[in-house]
Amino acid sequence: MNPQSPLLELENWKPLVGPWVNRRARSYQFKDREISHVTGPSGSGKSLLLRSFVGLEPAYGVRLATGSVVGDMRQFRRKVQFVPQFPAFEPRIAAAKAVGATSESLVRGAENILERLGFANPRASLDQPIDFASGGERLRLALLRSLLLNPQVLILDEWTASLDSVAIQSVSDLLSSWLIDDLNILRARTVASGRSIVMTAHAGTTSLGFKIPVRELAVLDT
Amino acid sequence: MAVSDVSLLASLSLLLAAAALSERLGLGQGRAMVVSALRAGVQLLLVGQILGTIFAIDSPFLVGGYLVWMVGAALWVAWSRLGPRKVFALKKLDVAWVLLGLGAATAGLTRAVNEVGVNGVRLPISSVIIPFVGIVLGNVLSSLGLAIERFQSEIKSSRALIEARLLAGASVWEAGSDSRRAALSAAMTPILNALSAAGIVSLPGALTGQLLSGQDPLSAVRVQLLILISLALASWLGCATLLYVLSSRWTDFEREAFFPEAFS
Repeated sequence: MNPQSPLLELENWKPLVGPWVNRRARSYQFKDREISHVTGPSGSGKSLLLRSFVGLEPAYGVRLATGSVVGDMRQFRRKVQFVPQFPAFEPRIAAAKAVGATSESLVRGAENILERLGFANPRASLDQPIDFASGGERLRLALLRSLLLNPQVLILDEWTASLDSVAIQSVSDLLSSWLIDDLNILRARTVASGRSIVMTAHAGTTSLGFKIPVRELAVLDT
Repeated sequence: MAVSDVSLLASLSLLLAAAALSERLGLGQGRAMVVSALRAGVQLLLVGQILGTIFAIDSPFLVGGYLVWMVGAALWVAWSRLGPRKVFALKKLDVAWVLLGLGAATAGLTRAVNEVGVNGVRLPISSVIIPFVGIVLGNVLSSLGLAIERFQSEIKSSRALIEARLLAGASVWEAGSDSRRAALSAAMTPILNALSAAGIVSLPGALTGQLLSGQDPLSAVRVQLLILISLALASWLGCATLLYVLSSRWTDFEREAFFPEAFS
C-alpha cells in the first residue's frame, strides 16, 4: 500500500445536526501508520466529527477506505472502529463473550491485551460480566473489543477521561504497538492492512506518552 | 334486564353524592366526576339514538361513514393523548393508516363471521360491525400508545448499547430488536392478561353486558371469545406495523445508520 494514500477520508464533511449545521464544509484525511489528535474547544464538534465517521451522527461527506467509496456502513464499521467515552456492553454475560472473544485463540489474545493494559487477573476479568466494571476498566475492555475486530482505523473519543496516568501510559504503549503492527496476538493475518488512529483527549499530546509523533488536527478552521 | 330511568337517575345521584363528599373531604376529583358522568350520559344517549337510526336503515354507506368517523375520532384521541411527548419520527398519517387498516379488516372479518352466523343467528350487518370495530379500535388505541411510549423510552435509555452493537457489526434492525420486543411486550400485556384471566378473575365487559340483557351464557361466552381473540390479533398487527414504521423512520436501513434525534 502506498503510505501516502489516505486510509480514511472525508470530503466536504458537514454535520446535519446541532449548532454546527451552518459550518463550512471541510475535508479530512487520515493516513496509514498515523496518530491524529483532533483538537478544539469544548462544544466545537470533536465528538460529532468522530461519531459521524461511523454513521452515528448524520453528516454530509464521502467516506473512503482503502481507496473505495463506502457503500455499506455495516462492512465499513468493522474496518473503522469507534471507542466511545462511555462504552456500553451486553449486560449479564461474561466479559469474554461481550467483547467478542468467542474462540480459544481470541480469548488468549484478549488475556494478553488486558495484561498489557494493566489488568491484574485478565482471565478472571474475562469470566465475569462487565456490569460491575469501573469506568476505566470499561474503556479498556471497549478498546479490546474493537481491537479483536481487527480494524484498520481506530477512533477513540476522550479516552483519557476515566484513566489514571499509569493506565493512560499502558493504553498509549498498546496503541503504539498496534500501529506499528507489533501486536501479534490477534487473528492471523497474511496481508498487512493499513493502520491509523484518530482520537480526542483533553490531555495535551505530550502527556499521552506516545512513542510515535502525533499529528495535531484542529476540528475548526483557524 | 331493562334499566329504568329511575334506576339510572338513582345511580347518578349516588355518584353526585360521592363527588360532593370527595370535595368536602378535600380529596378533589369531585368536579371531574360530575363532568365525566354527565359527558358519558349525553354521549351514550346520543349514540344510542344515532345507532338506532343507522341499524333501522342498515345501509352500507351509513355504516361506512360511521366507521370513518370512528377512525377519525380514534386518531384525534390518540394524537391529543401523546400531547407534548410527541414521538419523534411518528407522523399522524402512520397512526391513521394503522387504524384505518385495522378498522377495515375488522369490518370485513365481522361481515364474514356474521355470514356464517354467531350462535346460529345472523344479525343486521350494521348492528354487528359498528360495535365490533368500536371495541377493536378502542383497544388498539391503548396498545399503540403503550408500544410507542415504551419504544421511545427504550431507544433513549439503551442508545449506547444499540450503538455498541452497531459498531460490533450488527445491522440496525438487529441492534434495535430488544427495544421492539420490550415495546410489544408492554403493548400486549393487558390483552394477554385479559385472555388469561377471562372467566377466572373477571367476566369481560361484553360477556357481562350480554348476561345482563338475558343472553344464554354459552352463547355469550362464544361472542366474548371471538372479541378477545380479535383484540389480541388487532393489537399485535397494529403494534408490529407501527414498530416497523418507527424503526425504519429513525434509522437508515440502506446505509445502516442510526441517529434518532435527527428526526426529533
